[in-house]
Amino acid sequence: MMCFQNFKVRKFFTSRNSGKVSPDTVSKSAENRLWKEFQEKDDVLKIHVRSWLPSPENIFRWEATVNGPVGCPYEKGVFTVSVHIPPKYPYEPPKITFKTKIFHPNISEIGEIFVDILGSRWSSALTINLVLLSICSILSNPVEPLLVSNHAARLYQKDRKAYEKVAREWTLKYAKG
Amino acid sequence: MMNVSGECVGRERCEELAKSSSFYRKVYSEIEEIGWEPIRRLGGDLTFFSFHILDKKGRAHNLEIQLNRDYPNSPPSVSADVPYMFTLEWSTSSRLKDVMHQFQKHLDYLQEFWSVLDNIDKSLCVVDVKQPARASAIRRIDAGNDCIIIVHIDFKDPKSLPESRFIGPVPSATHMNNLHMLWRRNCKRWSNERSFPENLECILGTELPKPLGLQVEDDQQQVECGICYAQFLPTDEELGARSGTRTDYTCENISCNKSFHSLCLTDWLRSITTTRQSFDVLFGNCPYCSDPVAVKTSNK
Repeated sequence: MMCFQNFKVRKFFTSRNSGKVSPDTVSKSAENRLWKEFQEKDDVLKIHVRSWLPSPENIFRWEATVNGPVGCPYEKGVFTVSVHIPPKYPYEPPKITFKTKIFHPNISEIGEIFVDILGSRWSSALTINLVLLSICSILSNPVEPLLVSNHAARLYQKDRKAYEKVAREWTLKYAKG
Repeated sequence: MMNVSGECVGRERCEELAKSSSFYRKVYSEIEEIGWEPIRRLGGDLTFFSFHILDKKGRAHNLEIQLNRDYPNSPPSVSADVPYMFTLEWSTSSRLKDVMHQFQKHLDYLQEFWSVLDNIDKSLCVVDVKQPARASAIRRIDAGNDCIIIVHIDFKDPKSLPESRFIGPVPSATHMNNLHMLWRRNCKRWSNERSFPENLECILGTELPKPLGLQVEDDQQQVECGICYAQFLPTDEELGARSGTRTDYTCENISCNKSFHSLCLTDWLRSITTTRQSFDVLFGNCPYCSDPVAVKTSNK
């Protein structure tokens, strides 16, 4: 009788959990993938992006610097970004914000980045490093749609020269290497 | 004079900046068209790209593209580790994805060439190079007694009789001369129907040395899931029968050919709003190439 009851309880437990994997297993999988991503070696990536872990044991929290591309107002700037990776990564995108002040049509005054690959067009095929490289490329190439509430976006559309002037000034002021 | 000159320079500068801006917008949109995942290296000024591309047999290739500032009026420069580069068909309305498409066709054309070389590398004792370059059509094959046969595979007709040379140290001259004589006498026996190693051994009338302790593992065993980056699922009681299993789903797009654990793929498909379900099958798009995928949600 006791054995029978145990068997029944165990079966119930198994069937209830078999339809879905627990958050713990998913995050273990994310952790494994992130260590591989963090160790990725790539020559061009090294030129434009440098990343590190504020806490060496926490792979879900990165910080990185993105170098302003040559030939744009952010040239010679070194911009620090903060990367928070959800436990459900890569099924959910990372959250990346600028810690360095930057005057850019796709980046809000508090550092939020508005690009579709961090939202609606996120894919589990993307990696943190690829996203950081994409952010590096949008510095010299703002993408539509622009933030109408953003002063940088309005100036970018209204007066390109003035936008570039302000962007360059902010780079010199806030993004020294 | 001074005023006119200054004004001229100013206008030129403006035109250059406007062109620069439209250049960046165009290139960025074309990268988006291809997708970001194949990119392995990216020049900060968006004039250099290195793409990682798999051919039909899953061999990895790097395609490097360099753009001029007057792109697309001038064609991009293209380079890759292939025995010869295809002639790029280009017009001002062409896009980066056209380059990708032409490169893919070029890779398809070279499949037989690489299959012959892979067969040589697998079945015979190739000396010197540990991992030959994809562009190399030459193999130095150990023929025993310190003699080496150098063969050159014709990439236009890889199964045809190759050009060959024989080298060896002076004390083995007799053996080398024998090989050379056998080759001249028997080369007519070369057949497109037989594999390269079989042809070689048939002509020389001897069995050739095999690769030294080189155990070539099944390619399938090396495949990692495109989502969790692991070959095997974790060993976990909760995963039940799928605990510790290898990838079991492959994208049907030949250019993509990514492998996944169906568990990881269903988790991904469930996480996005565009996925459709019919009974126990989830319909969606491959996270890499966006081609349709359909995966069964087995509950056990």
